[in-house]
Amino acid sequence: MLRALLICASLALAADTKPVVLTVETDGEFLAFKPQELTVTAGATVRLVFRHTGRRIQQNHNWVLVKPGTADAFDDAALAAGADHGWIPANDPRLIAATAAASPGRQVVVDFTAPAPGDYPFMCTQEGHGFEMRGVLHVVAP
Amino acid sequence: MTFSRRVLMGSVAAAMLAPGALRAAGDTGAEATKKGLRIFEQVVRHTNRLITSKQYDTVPKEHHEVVEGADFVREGLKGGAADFTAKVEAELIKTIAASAAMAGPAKAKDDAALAKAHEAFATQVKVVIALFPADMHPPVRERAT
Repeated sequence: MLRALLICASLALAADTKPVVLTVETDGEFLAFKPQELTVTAGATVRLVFRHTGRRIQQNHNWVLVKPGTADAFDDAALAAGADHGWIPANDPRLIAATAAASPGRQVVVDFTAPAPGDYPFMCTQEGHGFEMRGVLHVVAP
Repeated sequence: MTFSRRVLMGSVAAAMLAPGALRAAGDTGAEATKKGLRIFEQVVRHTNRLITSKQYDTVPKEHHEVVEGADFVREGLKGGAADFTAKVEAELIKTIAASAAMAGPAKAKDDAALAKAHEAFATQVKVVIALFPADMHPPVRERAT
């Protein structure tokens, strides 16, 4: 009986921690995301799946989530970091989550915990794309 | 199913999955042209950003996008009026040349020459876009954040 209860509790716990899967992709060959807005509940375990749907233009993209109000400055810092640092400034406190770079046709994933409610910018930082390849993650209260 | 029939069906399937077939299936003439024009404008903005940030090494890497953009426009014009196609082709060649002309100043890290080359490239892109009706022009960009 106790064993059965423990098994049920484990299953319930696993269900609660199952990640929320959010999917975003490039708008084909363009410097844009589709969709440009995502929504998730604060505290949720998120699995962000990013798909590079471009085929012909050989450029990489990534998905980078930063704190509110820091998008422009982070974009500048990413550009300054350059290719040697994967277009991500090292140890930057503004960074919340980032995928690896995806080449055309590839898919990358990052897991993170949704922060406190608010609107969080995301962008591609590869090769200076962040100046226009952006979106917003809306984090809502539970 | 006989072996030869299987081979034939496999060949058909492979041909359908070829990139060219996918492109043809995904983009009508107008859509391919619009895509090419939008790519041109995208490169104008992106190279401007790179130049402003003095990312000289990355500027020439954008050239292949201009070449692809021109190919998209050409694909969109297939089967169209010969005189218009010739007119567009002449401007596409100039656009590709203008894009390539940024490489030298970028390599030399010559800000003044690079700015001039970029302005010439941006102007040439406008010339190409202006050849087409307004509904083919790239949409006005509104950044999400």
